[in-house]
Amino acid sequence: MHSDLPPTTLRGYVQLETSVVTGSHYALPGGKFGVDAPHFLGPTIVAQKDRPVRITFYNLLPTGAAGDLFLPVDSTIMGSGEANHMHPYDQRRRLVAMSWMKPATRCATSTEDGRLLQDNRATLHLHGGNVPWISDGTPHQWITPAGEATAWPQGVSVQSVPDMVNNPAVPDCSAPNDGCQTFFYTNQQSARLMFYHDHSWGITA
Amino acid sequence: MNVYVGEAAGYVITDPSDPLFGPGAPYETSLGLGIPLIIQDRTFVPQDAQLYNQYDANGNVLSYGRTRPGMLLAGAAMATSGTTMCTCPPRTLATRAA
Repeated sequence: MHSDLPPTTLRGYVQLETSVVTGSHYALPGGKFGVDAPHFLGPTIVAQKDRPVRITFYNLLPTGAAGDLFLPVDSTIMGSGEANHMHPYDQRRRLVAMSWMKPATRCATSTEDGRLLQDNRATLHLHGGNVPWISDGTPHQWITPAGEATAWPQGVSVQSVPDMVNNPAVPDCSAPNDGCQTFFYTNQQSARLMFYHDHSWGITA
Repeated sequence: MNVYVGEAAGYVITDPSDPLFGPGAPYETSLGLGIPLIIQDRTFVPQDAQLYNQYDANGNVLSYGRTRPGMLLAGAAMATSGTTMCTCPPRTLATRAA
């Protein structure tokens, strides 16, 4: 933000270093390195019409209680907080709603956290992009960080880019709890400014 | 919330044949585009206490969305009417420093 403003707590995106993209080796959680320190409203992706962009997206947000948002969250909104807030008065419908979230197991952990839709869910949605649905970053295409103790490590609609699975050239993000996912943007549209943003169910806006 | 706290950034599609932003065009820069302009509406306060409302729908300030009134705050095990999905041990909640 503006240099006249005091520091404030934010979340954000950052370009990770890869074998072909290097930078200042800025240390990030999870043993990852950024090309520089995270910047508010960055990094801007500059693409060219008709030339696809591929993204391997890592969720490096803190896990456990540290992964809670630092601003008040309305946990009564569908998709936020306790899963059974969705249908608190109808046991039958509640069970349907919980199975909709594709739990890795019925009760993966014995802690309360296993029942919650975490605040540290994240994804990428290219707002206004002409994107195939598997890479759209819809509200049900979020992932939690690797190592999060949750029965629901990812949303029900998460799909990997097909040729980025079992491909030695790129990390494999096909496991539900690996903390990463892949995206493919076609850029088959005219020149324009867009933005990409989180779209996780219940905690986007 | 995630967009408000910063999970958003620009994405520009360039077009070499674009009459405004292409090579040699009036608004071309080294990246082949103009200067992106993003306008946001935000609230800045020196202290959290100056926020209009610090509380979530359950009246909690921190660990938003993780408790219901009078349950885990008292160290009680989670119990729901009908089927109990999991047995949940007491959980210590963090409190915000004054």
